[in-house]
Amino acid sequence: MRKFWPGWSRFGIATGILAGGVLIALVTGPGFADSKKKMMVIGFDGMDPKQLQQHIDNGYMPNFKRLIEKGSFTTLGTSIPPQSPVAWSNFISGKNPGGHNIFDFIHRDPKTYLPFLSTSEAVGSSKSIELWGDWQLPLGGGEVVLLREGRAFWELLEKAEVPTTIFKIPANYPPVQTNVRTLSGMGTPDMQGTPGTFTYFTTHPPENADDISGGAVVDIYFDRDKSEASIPGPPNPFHKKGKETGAKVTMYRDKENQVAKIVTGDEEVIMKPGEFSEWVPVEFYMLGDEGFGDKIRPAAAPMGLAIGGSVRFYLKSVYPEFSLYVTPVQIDPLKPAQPVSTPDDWSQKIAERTGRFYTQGMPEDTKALEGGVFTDGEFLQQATLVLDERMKLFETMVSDFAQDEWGFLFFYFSSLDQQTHVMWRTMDPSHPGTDSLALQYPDAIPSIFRRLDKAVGVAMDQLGDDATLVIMSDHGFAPWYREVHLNSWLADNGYLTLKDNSESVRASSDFFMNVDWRRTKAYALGINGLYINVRGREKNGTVAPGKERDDLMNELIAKMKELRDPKTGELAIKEVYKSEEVFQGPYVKNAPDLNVGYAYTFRGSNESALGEFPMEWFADNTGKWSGDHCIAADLVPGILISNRKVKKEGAALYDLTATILAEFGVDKDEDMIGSPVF
Amino acid sequence: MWPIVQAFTKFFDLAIALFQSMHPIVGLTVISVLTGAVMLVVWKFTSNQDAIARSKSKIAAYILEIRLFPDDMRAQFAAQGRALGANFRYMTYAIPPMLIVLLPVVAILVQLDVRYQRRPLEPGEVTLLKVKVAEEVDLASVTLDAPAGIFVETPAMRVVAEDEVDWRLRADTPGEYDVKVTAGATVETKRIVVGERLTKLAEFREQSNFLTIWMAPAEKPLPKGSPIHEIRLTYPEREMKLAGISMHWLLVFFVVSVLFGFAIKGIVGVEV
Repeated sequence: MRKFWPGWSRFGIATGILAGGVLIALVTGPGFADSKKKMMVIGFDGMDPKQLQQHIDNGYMPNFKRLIEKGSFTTLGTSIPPQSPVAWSNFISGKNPGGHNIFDFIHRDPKTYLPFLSTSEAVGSSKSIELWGDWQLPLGGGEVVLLREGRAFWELLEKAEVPTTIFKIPANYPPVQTNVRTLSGMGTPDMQGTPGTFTYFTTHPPENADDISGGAVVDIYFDRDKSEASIPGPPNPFHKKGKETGAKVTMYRDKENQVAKIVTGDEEVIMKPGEFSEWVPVEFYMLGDEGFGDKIRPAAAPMGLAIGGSVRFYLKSVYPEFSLYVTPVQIDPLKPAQPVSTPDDWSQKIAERTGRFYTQGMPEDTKALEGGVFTDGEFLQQATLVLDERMKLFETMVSDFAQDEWGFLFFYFSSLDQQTHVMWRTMDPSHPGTDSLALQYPDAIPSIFRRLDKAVGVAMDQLGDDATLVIMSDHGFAPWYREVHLNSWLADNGYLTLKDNSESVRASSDFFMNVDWRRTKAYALGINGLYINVRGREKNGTVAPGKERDDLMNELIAKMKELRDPKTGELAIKEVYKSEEVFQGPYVKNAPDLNVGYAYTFRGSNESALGEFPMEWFADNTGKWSGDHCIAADLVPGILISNRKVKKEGAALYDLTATILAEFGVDKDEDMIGSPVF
Repeated sequence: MWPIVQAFTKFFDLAIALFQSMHPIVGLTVISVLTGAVMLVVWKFTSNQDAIARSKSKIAAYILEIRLFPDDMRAQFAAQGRALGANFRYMTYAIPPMLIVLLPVVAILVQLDVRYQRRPLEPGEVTLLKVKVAEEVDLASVTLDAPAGIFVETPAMRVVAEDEVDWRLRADTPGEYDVKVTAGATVETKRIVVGERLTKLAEFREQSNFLTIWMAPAEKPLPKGSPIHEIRLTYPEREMKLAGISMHWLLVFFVVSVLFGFAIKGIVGVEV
């Protein structure tokens, strides 16, 4: 029988078809963008649609109004739970938590029941050569690993050769290794490796000095109006126990003239009370620490290896008491000790144009406010500096992008979220945490809306109508009046057994140290997570997987949804979501079994989140952290505004991911769950 | 001594003024070229040119010997020893003219340093003015008067432990200003330059001695015995960029002057 294509072997035909297929795939597939468009997404963390509408109606937001008139304004479905790292990971990956493995700010290790930070993990250098005494020579540096799974959408844009810039997106530290210009955002630590630890030098330490979280209070004294101390730095890798390094700081004061001079290294600043300094570079030496005792912690002698950071000082007072606040030591964008950008030197290039800036993920120092180191006015002063700095960076990025022929730009603002968290009480006289001092700042939050409106105006004016402009937020906001101690409720209802149920032990133990795991069925960890103590999964699991677990979950859901606040009679929990029903993907197995969606004005307490057991189930929230969003997801949607018409009903964060890729003709990954909104 | 330094400084003022409207690197390059040429001529007339030529020829011959007899170890070592000896003799001939050339080169470097190392303040920039006084001076008597264009942002910061009084100043408008420092009955001034001009900048005024007169030519030294020991003002470092590449003025000076000197040594007939 004659061959249909004489001279062609079957192998040759197959190879030809394959080659043709590859060619077609290369031309039309994700390898090349088929659309040279321009798109910018501005992320306003925590912008609430109801608040926004109110400010638009009041005429405060002319640029938002102008943009909405051109296109659309709708709500944007947030994540379950509506926490920033989770929500932004939905946006980054185009998946829900089952696909990206971030379920809460904190997760737990089922083998120890101990919590850990969900987004990244520090891994120290495992090998070292022992030297004399307490010293060692580390062989290689430690590293920080990003725990978010799934490809970031800009990796797909990069593959399609779309010029892309991602500025300060949360949940991206350390930044995903790409050639895309990215600067890491929320999750980026300070030089001590913490989310942000300030230093407070004072001759008059507050009574709660030991209880202040997120800051170190250093008791200092003056001799001939001169005092020496040390700014705590990163752990020393040459020291076997990782002894803390320090940067020497000398403080002089002029009591009569109420002015102070601060000297560190070659840098000197003169300040009046109430002033913030510019950024000051500081150096931490790794060798030669001589040790001068506890009262004054000295800097190491400059004998060799040093790493740098940068700080700003705030002089609170000079005399009779001297008080100086020092920001958490930033990874210096000009000389980053750890990469905060891709390419590695991009942060340096930006800082050379704009000056140094906060690299810390969440720079508004809410801890200093909550610890009483900052007054409301001082906090607002610091937060304004952050926003000023961010606006300058924004204008630089938008101006550059306006010159580009095509591409994608994402820019993130944290100010509204952080300030709404701690300043809600300034505009809400019914809040249990408010007082006459707080109510002196009713414009604290509206003023940020107005400034963000200016940012929108800049983007609109610079980019024109040809570019697609999208304004989005990851979630909205709600007041937080009542704390729910969910672990206490679990304990008092027989789901969790304490070793010692006395009030003194319940009040003093944390991290579940007082829990008898062999007699515990369920425990709450994180702000919204509730885990069943499953046999074979948890170290001392008691509940069999399958029917026993399912029945227990159903029982808990029913009971929790009936939980009423004795003070108001209101239901405290609006919804409880089963992870296996609301999440899809390979990481559902790591999720809390249940996600608690609190009702409006309620939220899980910080004590419960970290495994503590106060005696009561409810308490008034009298803290500065007065607004929140970690409640039922449908109560706190985000915003979606664009200069184009949004056609999709009920758009969610992962739909925006699909929208960006579709805009550039780039295929999404198969496991991305969203669809384009335009 | 000061009038000589002043005259030398004036000469540089005039030379730099010719290039005021151009990129700073233009004036620096021209001065470097001229310095290379002049120093080559000075070298020619202050060195033993015949002896230097002889030494260089011998070094070349010994190196050739090393390459000609690669298998003869004895010849190799002997040639290397003789090359080292010739090299030493070359150094002895080169050092005296080098020392003679060094003096004017240092004077030129100082003049360039006060113009290229730092830049004037820009409007809006802040800086510190620091005054050191004699131990017996009452720090409360030390005051500062600034003209319009310079704003004093802080009260006097008296550092008792250092016999020092500091202020934070802000430059407001371009210009050259003299701020007045008073310590008891003594009054001194300090020049502050604001703007974009390429001009000489004095970071400090110290009490007069031979070294300060030559090493700080931008402003007259303080009189000897004054209760004011030093007035210091910090100017920002000048960043000199060409085609986006940052370069230090000293590197530009040495590279250009040395390359130009080597390029024309054949034309001028100089053995280096």
